[in-house]
Amino acid sequence: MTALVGGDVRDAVAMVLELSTWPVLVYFLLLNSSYLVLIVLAGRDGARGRRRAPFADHEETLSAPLTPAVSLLVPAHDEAAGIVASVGALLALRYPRHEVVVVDDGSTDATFALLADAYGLVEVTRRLPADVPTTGTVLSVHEPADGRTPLVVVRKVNSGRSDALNVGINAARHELVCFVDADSLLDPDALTVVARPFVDDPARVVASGGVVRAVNGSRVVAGRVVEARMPSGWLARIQVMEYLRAFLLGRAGWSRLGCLVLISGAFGLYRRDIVVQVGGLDPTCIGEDLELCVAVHRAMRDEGRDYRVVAVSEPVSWTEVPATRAVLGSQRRRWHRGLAEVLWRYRGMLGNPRYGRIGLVALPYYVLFELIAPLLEVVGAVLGPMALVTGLLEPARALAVILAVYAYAMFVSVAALAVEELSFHRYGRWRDLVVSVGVSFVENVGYRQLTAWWRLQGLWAALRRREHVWGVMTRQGFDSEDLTPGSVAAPASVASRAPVAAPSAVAEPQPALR
Amino acid sequence: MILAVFAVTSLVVLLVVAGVVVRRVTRRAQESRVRRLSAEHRPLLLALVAGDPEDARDAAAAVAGLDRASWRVLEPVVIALLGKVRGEGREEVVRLLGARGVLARARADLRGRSAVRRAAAADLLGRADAAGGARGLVRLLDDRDADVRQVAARALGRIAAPAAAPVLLRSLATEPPRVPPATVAQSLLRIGPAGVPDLLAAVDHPVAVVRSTVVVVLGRLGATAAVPALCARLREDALTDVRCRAAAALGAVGLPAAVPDLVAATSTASPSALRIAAARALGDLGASSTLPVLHALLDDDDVRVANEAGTALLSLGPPPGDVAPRSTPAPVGAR
Repeated sequence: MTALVGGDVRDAVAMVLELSTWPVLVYFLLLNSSYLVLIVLAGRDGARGRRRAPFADHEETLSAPLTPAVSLLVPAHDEAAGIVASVGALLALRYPRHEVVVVDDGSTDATFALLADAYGLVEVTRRLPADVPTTGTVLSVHEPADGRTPLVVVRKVNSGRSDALNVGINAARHELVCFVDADSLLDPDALTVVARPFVDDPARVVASGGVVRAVNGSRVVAGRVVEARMPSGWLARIQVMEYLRAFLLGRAGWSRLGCLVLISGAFGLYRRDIVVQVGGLDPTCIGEDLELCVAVHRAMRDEGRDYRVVAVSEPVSWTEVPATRAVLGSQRRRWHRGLAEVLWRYRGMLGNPRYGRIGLVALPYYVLFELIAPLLEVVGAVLGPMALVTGLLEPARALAVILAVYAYAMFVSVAALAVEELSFHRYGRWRDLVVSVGVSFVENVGYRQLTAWWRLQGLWAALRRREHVWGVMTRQGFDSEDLTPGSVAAPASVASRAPVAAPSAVAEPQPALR
Repeated sequence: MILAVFAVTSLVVLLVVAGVVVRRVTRRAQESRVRRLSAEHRPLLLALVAGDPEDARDAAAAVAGLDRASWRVLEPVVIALLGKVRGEGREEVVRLLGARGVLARARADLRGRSAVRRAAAADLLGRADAAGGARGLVRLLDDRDADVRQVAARALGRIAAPAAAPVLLRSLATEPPRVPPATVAQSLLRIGPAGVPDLLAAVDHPVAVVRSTVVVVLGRLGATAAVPALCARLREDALTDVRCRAAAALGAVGLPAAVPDLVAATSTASPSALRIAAARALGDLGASSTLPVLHALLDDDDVRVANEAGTALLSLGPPPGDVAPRSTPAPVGAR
């Protein structure tokens, strides 16, 4: 076989292999060790929460006089398919005092008309404060004529999701702001639980992130997920596992370490005054949820404040994940580009002791094990076969390495599965368990490599500073049993596209093991 | 070496998967058993909480005589009834728990080594409003585990003994507070008007968290006797947050005597947050004498104050024409 390949190529591959063997080994050792640490921390946290759940008494949050009021901010661009039901579900969340602020971001469909009709909206001459800067001109503010329904609808010209949220922040009356996507489904107690850290530790908690899960394939009735199920397509199935890993292991582990730097834009709760202090979301940044969280950390550390950013494990917000390769590829390129841009923007925090664990642990981790990981994966995927072809690597040895790496990856996935089964057991069908184990194996063959390639493209786009391009999120719709008003479900194949930013296309959580 | 790593990891994967399967099977078996036993004894439980006194006593005797295995399954179901029923039914449940030795065990568990046991015991004693548990619960306010302290504070509120009020307030007087202020506030609310004297004594406590919690609870209780003290907090407190809470409390109490201080708090000399809180409180208070002040605030330069005044006016009744802020809507500033 070696005769088939030129000597120069063989020498080059040999040199690269020789130079990279030890660094790569050390890299993967550190990476896998970090996963192990996160798994152990998340497992301990899950077990602790399980043991203490009987006396957690979240009901108290509903009646405590000091429970902070929440403004739910919902950016909506061409969300006519589900906006009425979505707002209805948000208004019906179990929480003592909350309002829903819908920012109609220049919709070209009947989004506003449907809302106006359903809630009897009337225009009010309420001015919005300029607490955070915005670019899109506000056209009008509307409230229900009944004077009781805690709903505000702000109409503005289209300027993208981040700017719409900034308008929402300005319109919000309450001390906490919760970012929610118009097409997300929230568990009835989601707000109660995600706000609990603010109730228990009001002086220190500045942000709290909830769990986001993939809704594809699940049974939805009247805007609620009543039975979690694995979807039928492998692409969506793999993402279900990714989300489990990311939230049940990654976020929980990072939160336990006090190093949580990413709260999903699809379901995150912040103190409004802190968000105002950091200037709101940055519309020029493609990874705005990560950017906001890091900005909050920097502001708090710069002021030397004792603060906490925490993740809660249940209940959850459900979101639809891409079911096609094209949409998924676009999403992953965007996420990785956002990651690169945020890390570059906050490079001053990297390794800086002034920023404590965030500067010394979390951000360096993101650079080493998230940002450049796809580069190493792709290089490995290229070098491995070349080393085999040139005879530098024995087939048996190569196979052993691949098997060891895959086995470890499977371990991480089944660990997430175990946490899910022990703590939440949302996926009740045996078929789903079998599929989940299958996914843990299948995702290593092709999917990992493909996403690594997309992420590498995102990194390259960030390095070249190409203009941001927002993709189209083609929604398949939920397997809903109620598609009439009162249901949040979108009909099949609703394509959300915005001239500047598609609200539903940019806020999905980033489900690596973070 | 590499193959060994693969073999070990694969073995661990298989073990974890097997563990998941075993866990699911055992959990389902347990759930099925609970369902079966609950269904079997449901008539007894219904008679216990909703039957006439004689039926209830018979049912209690029958449940008290259940074998240990059945009781172990039913115990959580019976404990859960505490939060669902009131009156005689609830008393029967408490008596039953006493007869089965559950409450005695909980009292003993208050001194247990496991934090989970201590917290679970405190929770049960609070729900059962069990006599003789208060002293143990007070001791748990100094527990090393934060959850235990919180559950103990909540339980003291459920027992609603007025003597617990000063102890609960003391748990706030450390930095950081030993119990979340929200839990203490909730418990003080459950204690009710009987705790007002202790609250008034603490309204000017040197620790801000104590003051702010007391102010909120006094407002929620509608303690009219507290209006002078609340007005003093509104005027004089060093912290804007406490002043804002005092304004909200005065609005909730609703005595016209608070109007002058609330109106003064809306002046431009006050911090913005206080002006907003005071405008909101004037709306909550609902005195017609505040209408001119609120109308004047509609033109305020501070948009939030103007909006709050508009909302307050709307809450006071039908809009007299131009309730909403009169300023021209302005485009929000560019980034």
